[in-house]
Amino acid sequence: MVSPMLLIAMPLGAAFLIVLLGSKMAARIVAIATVAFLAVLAPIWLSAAISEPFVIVLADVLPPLGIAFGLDAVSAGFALLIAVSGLLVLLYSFPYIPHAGEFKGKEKAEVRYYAIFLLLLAGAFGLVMTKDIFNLFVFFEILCISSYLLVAYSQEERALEAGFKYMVLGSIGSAFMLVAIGLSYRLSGSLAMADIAKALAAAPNSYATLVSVLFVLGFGIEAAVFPLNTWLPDAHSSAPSSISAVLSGFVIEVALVVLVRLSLNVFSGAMLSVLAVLALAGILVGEMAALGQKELKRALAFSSIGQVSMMLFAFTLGSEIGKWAGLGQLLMHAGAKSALFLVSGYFIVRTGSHEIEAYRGLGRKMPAAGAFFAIAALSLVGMPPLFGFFTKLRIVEAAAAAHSAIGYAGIVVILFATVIESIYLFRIVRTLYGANAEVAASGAASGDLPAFAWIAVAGFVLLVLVGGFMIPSFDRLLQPMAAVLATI
Amino acid sequence: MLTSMLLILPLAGFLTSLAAAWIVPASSKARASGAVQKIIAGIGFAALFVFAFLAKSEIGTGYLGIPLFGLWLNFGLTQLSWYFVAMVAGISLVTVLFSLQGLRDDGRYPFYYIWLFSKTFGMLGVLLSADMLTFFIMWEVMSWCTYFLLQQGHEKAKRAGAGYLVYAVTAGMILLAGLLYVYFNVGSFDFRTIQKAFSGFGAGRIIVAMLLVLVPMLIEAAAYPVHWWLPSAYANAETGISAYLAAISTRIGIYGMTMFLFAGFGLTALNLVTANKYVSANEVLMIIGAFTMVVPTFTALFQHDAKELMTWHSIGQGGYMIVGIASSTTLGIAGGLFHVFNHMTYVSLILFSIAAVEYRTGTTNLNKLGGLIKKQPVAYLGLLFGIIGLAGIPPMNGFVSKWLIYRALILSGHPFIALAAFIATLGTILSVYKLIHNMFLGQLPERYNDIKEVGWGMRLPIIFMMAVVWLTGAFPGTVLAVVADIQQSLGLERVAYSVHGVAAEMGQLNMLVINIVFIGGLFVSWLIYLAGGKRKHIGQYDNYAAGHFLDKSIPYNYNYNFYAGMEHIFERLLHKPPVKRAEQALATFVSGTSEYVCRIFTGNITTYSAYVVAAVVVILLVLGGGR
Repeated sequence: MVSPMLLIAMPLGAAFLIVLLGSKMAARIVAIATVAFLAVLAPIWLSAAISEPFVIVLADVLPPLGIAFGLDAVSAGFALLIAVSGLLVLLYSFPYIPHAGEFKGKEKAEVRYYAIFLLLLAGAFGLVMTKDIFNLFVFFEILCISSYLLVAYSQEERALEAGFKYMVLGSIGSAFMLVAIGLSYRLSGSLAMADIAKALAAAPNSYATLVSVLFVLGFGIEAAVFPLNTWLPDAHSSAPSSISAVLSGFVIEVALVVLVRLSLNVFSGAMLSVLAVLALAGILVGEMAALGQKELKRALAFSSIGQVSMMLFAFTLGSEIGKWAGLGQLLMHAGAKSALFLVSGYFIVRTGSHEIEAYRGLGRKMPAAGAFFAIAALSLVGMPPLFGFFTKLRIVEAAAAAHSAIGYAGIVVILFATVIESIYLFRIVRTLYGANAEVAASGAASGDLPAFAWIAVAGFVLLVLVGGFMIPSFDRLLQPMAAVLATI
Repeated sequence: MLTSMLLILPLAGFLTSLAAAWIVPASSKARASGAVQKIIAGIGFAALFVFAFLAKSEIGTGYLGIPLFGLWLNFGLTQLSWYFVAMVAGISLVTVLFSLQGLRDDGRYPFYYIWLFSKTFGMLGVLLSADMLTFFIMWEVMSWCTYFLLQQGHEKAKRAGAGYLVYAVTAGMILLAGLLYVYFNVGSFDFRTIQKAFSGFGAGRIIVAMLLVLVPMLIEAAAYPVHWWLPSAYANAETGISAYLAAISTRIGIYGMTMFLFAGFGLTALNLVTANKYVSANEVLMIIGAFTMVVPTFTALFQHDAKELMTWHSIGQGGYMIVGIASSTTLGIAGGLFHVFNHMTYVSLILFSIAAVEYRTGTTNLNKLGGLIKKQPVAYLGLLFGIIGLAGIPPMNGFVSKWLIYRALILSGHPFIALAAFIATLGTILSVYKLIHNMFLGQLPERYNDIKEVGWGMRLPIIFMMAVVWLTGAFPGTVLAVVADIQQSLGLERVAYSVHGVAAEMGQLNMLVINIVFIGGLFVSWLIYLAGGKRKHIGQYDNYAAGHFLDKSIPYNYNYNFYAGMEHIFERLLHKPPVKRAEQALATFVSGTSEYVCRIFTGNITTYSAYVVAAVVVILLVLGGGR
């Protein structure tokens, strides 16, 4: 079997190749070929990793000196998610990216877009596969820096501003992380996570707490933990919609799962209860803020805060069912939120506006886009038999099974959040299908999703549509993932 | 298995009509698509009706487990659920038959039959659920389908539907909390296991579980004070849909209430709670029911739209059902359950008649109609029969169920609740008089001179429902037989019924005698009429008031702003009712909080960096401080 290192090596190599070739067409072909190749291999690696995790040692140097990678159920599962999402978003990008921003040298910029997109994928793959904490930092930086660049891609003022804010906060996070890594290296003399975990367990309590807090909060900025997530609404709403979909679909989630895994295994357990409280606050803040938004993508970005906090809450419960529920919600959210962002990208292209009110009646003009939006929204709120219903049911079930105060508080918060979600998401859907003579008459807002975009969105919508019926199959995937999550 | 057909048929109908809408493009062949949908709906609902009655043989014969989504969905038929299933199947068939002609092909309701199928599926799913998880899943499906059904038509309907959604999702979430509570206390979703377990629980746990489960049922049943979603939602829907929703959809809440009270948590558990000297569960419910009877009924009085007036009555009549069932006496439960059937028949009859008038005149505004009796006699008779039933006047069926409820209330020692019921009936009579007068009596506005009666496609369902309202009034035993079976299956005493009413041991009511007296009375009046002196037939404009002749140019105007004087007295309450004010205050609070939360995100990078540092410091202090 080919080595899973290809997951990192291929996008990295392809990114440089794209810049060398320099033509838009070549960039598209290389990018799609690379990601498609990985998306085909990912399920094979996944099934192999579930039965026996891969351990990869680079250049025959063993840890703690060498660089260690591994592919277990969690990282392989995420590799599949990243590869498939990446593939669909790339497909969407072909027709969409020419619409994103008007600026000089756009042809060149498009080439850069695909190169940076592949770098982002390489960073995400690396982040889930790495077994040592310094590489974690390196891939985290690759992921973050490519995100900053992609957020600012359109070079519009708001995008540049959002990218800058994202970068400043990301750098603060990186600084905290670097300090934490230095402190733990001083303690254990090793960069391998397993060694650090042992050393921290034996270390004085205050030392371990300091390292944990610095690391978890530094990482928490990227994982959108409240109150470190303030960059997110700006970044996700100003980025090109393909990038918003990627950021909300798997970038935050990858960071989140790495964070959860480290909190469960490496850092002090007290962090979990802190994270649980922050998660509940995040759900409330995200959903309540989404309720007050007038811009579609901002509302969706705030909804991502709420949803990600919901996953974090499920993970912090620590039980097997909690992890299952968190992973399930993550998968559902990747499908639903990506679809919502991708569709809203074309709403913006067709109307030239970010405001929800500008989309009145657009659902009739763009029937496929409207239907996809409604289905994804329904799943996010949790209508049976869509996927979102079952993941949300599992989360509250896990919370109830915890028999703890925070669990019960979580149930109340999540049920309340669901009511709020249904209000703002269906206010949007209603606007889409509202009566508007102007849109009905105007030729400007004509045209549904282009073919490639249609396929991409349909792919994500398919996941939430059949996800509920496929829960027994997902069980075979999510259960080993949940089990592996509790190990390093 | 026949029971499974009850779920398969509407689902298949939903999918085929959806596929038909997909295949036949709405723009090019809208009419063709309409015809296809009508054929599918006609066949589907007719078959559903047949299977609903065939399935009676399968009551209690076992469970139909469907493994789906990694869960196990259990369906089964009980006496109680069959009663409601039969009503759903019957009224949906009549509604569809009425809609075949009553629904104009103007493309405003392209998804009419599609959502009708899905809504029927959701309701039947709820009714057939044999465990609590299935019940919750189907409940959610049903709520969402209602939302989609309400999301058709004009802007106002959409806004009203949005209001419904908030209530429905809230109800669903409370039910989910109840589901979890019951599951983690009992360890099973199965109703029978729950019932057994709950009979051994203390009052505290039963009260929490009952609250979490009954509140969603009361929201669905639009009980006071959680009824506010209903009037605008139903009144702005297409009139056929209004009839369907008012007739049966709201009553699923009554089903749920009955089921959880008597089958879900068990009578033993209920008795345990009601035995408490201070908190008596059924009396609390009865008081809620009393408010539901009185307040909405008197609100109906002041409505100026026929449909809105009827939707308020639909809420008010639910109060009678709640009071009857919550009284937990043999007569009361029988009356409450029978009233569900009666209400379904007469409310759909009234709304069909209103729809017939709307079809011709294009309005349901009570200030603009009048004098249509000669133009639309069938609709008039339909409305007349309907309102006699609604007001609970003999010889129609509404009288029998109300009689049972009154009697139960008085015998069980609840004179004040009975008084509330009488007052509500008074309000009903006042307002239905306004309804029939402003639509059919008085002078005909000139613009309606060329109005004709609607076609037979709409006339026949009206005539059929008239027959049902009268005949089940004359032979209440036909329905009471089913009700008695339900009572037996729930472990309660059977109501002693006869074909013509209630048997002597439970207080002798013979509707045959009443019918004979009633018809005899009519006959005597006719004789008096014949024996009377010389009569002169005059036109409706040959009239005068206050010394003035009222010709076509000045029609007499007393149907405009009917009950204006009374409205003036209650103006403050009507203008801003407390419930509405509370609802608005809550909405303002939520949006205010939302605005406040939005301020966290200042957009200023300095503040954002400060958050991060503050978070690190605070968490370090919290975690490190203690040690």
